[in-house]
Amino acid sequence: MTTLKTKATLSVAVALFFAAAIASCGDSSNKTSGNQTPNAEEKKLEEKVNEIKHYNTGIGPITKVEIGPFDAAMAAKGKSVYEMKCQSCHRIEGDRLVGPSFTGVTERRTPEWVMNMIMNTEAMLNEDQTAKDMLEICLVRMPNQNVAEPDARNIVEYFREIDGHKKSWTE
Amino acid sequence: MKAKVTRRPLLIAAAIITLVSALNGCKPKSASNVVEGDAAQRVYVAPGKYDDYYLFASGGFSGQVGVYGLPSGRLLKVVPVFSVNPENGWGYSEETKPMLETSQGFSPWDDTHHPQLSVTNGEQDGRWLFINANNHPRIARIDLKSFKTVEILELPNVGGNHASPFVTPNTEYVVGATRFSVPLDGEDVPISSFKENFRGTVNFIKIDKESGHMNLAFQIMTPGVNFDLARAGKGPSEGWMFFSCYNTEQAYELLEVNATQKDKDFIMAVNWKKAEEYIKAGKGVKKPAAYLHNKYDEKSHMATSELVKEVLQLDAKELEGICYFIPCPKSPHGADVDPTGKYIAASGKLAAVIPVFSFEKIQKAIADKAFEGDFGGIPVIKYDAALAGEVKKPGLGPLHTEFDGKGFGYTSMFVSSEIVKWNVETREVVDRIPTYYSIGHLCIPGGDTKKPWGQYVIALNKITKDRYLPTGPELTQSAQLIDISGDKMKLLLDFPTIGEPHYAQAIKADLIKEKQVQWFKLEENTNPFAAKGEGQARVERKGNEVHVYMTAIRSHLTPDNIEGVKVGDVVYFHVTNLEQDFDVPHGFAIKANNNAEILVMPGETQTLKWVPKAVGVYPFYCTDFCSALHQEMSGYIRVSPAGSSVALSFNSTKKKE
Repeated sequence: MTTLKTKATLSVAVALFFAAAIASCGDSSNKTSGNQTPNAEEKKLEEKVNEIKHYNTGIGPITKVEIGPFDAAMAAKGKSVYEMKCQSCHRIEGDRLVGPSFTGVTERRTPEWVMNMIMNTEAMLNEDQTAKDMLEICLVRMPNQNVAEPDARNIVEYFREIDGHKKSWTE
Repeated sequence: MKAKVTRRPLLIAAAIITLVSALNGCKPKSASNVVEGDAAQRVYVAPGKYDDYYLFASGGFSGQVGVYGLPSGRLLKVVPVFSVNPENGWGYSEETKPMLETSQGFSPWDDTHHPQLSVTNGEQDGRWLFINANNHPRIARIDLKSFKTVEILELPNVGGNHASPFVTPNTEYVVGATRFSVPLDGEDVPISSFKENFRGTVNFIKIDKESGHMNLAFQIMTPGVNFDLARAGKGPSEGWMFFSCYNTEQAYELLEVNATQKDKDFIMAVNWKKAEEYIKAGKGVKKPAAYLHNKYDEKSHMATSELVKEVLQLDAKELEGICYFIPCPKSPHGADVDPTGKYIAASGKLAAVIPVFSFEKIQKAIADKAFEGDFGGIPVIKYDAALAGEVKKPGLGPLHTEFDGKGFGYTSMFVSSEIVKWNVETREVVDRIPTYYSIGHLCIPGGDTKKPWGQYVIALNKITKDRYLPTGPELTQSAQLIDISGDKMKLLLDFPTIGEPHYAQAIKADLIKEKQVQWFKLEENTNPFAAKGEGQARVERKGNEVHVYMTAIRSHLTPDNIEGVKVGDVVYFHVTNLEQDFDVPHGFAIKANNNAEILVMPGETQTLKWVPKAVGVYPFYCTDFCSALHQEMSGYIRVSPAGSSVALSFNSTKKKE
């Protein structure tokens, strides 16, 4: 009995230790763990549902983005920032290069999430579940390119242009 | 047998006792019995914590500047200045090559001696660090926002720029004075005509208040002597500069003997405000010269080299009231002004006293014409007329003095290997501490300014045998950290330094660390070869020159496949680092390179020239670990035979789309 008890205490201790270790490493106990790998289609759908359900704004300084009528001048500025600071890893169309390509981003992410990802990259990669899931796919931590808020907003406008949305973020 | 055995331990004990007492009696104390109990705690900077001070130590014969943290003594950075640095491409990249150009061609090495921090109102301001090149006479300016050497100015008519670069109280000027008097540049005269033809020059380099840019304002011509060091007056003595000089014998052979004959050499007092008046009155004479002024632009990340063809000279003999000599025993090194600006401590390295001159008495002596004669047409003030008093029997070989701001001077003693603390007003020695060994300069943070920080003195030693694990015949140089916050000096730490830590200056870290440039803005990059965005990455041919406009970001180089280069071509890799974050440099190296690598800081463009000699495919890669896929950050360039018809081509992100 004594030995058994000791063993039990030990294993509880071991389990606790591991749990603590995992928690402190910021590891995600997430949906991709386990044996089944969801296919891209399913995953996309699941993400979309999650985004819409929770309206994920991400983590960072941006809590609300006002989307007005499409502003072509802002989009042009956003494009030039994209070409200087983002293009080396993100394409507009096609498959992922280093990071994902941008077509359809307005359907996958909220504008707040986009701006927080651009401006608060480290924290997003550490704490935001969607960003963490993307990191598991891309494996290169997105660099913080120190884009100031007005330029991050211009990029949002450029994304509207890419997706042909002149009315709102999604239309 | 038995008897012997019992007696042996006694004998051994006796032997040990004698040995120990003998050692204590005649050898300097060893570190183990001079270090106080809490020394370790006082220099321990815990992981993740910062040091309190930056220490800028001359790299001596390395030609660079070593940056250390205090109190830990940890080496933080080596700033490349006068010597090439293949580690980051300084002097190898096309952008930095002009920085090491001189009027006599590219100079890959020099010898640095005296770092000097800029000051405002006589106090450290943390803006720039100046340092001299002792061999080929130059002064460099390091920007303390980026820790980059941004300017190098050559000095004409100077042989060995030793008494340099000391600043005036608002960094109006830095000075550079000749160690070896020489004929004017380009004159061909017999060495034996030293007295007639060899001249000393004292150069005043004007510093632009905003940009820090240096310009040689004027050059004072003096008799041929050797200038050693200088310090500016401050407070009551502001407007004056004091230079120590030796070899007033004007010897030109076997100086060891022939330049140490006289009992006294000189301190030269220079009234630089008076010199400015003479210039305004048109008394300066423009003389032809040829010296280079090299500037590094932190927007284009490129250096330019400009030839200056004229120098404004003032003759100290003709223009009364600029220069005065004060006799000083014997081969003086330091001429150090105390924080009040009232006293000048001048240490003759072969003298048995430290004379302390009074600025007030010097002024009175000049007014009263209390001169004992002249030297080369310049008045020599009577020793007693200038003297406040002497520090008697301070030790052997006094060299340099710095001040704690609490009324004490600390003088390094080369021959007796110690630091001696003395009261500036009473000239009494109040404390002394051994150094290990043969101390040259010493440094108190801010110890040459109006407001010394006064917490530590750092001994900069010439000899280190038995202090560290031996490393063959060449041993590391050494600095020692000594606490001066109490009445008694306490040794805290030994730490190794690069090159010879000739002189050093230290400054409170807060004055520098908040202003650091973390990356260069891509938007502001004006390098004509920059590719500001991967869309601009490309390869262009101009005759036999191939220009690769390459971008680097975690973790790929673009383009990473280049074909159509031929033997006989000269390839320029213009690498722009597209990162816009702190601590992400990328490196670039290529096989079969007779050059070096380049390290490219975020937002910067640097260019590596590569001349392929043989047909083949050559890999290139990033040398500075940057991410999980750093190993993949690489590419190939194909080199075909001369005259081959392989077309110039390259891939890019665009192409893959």
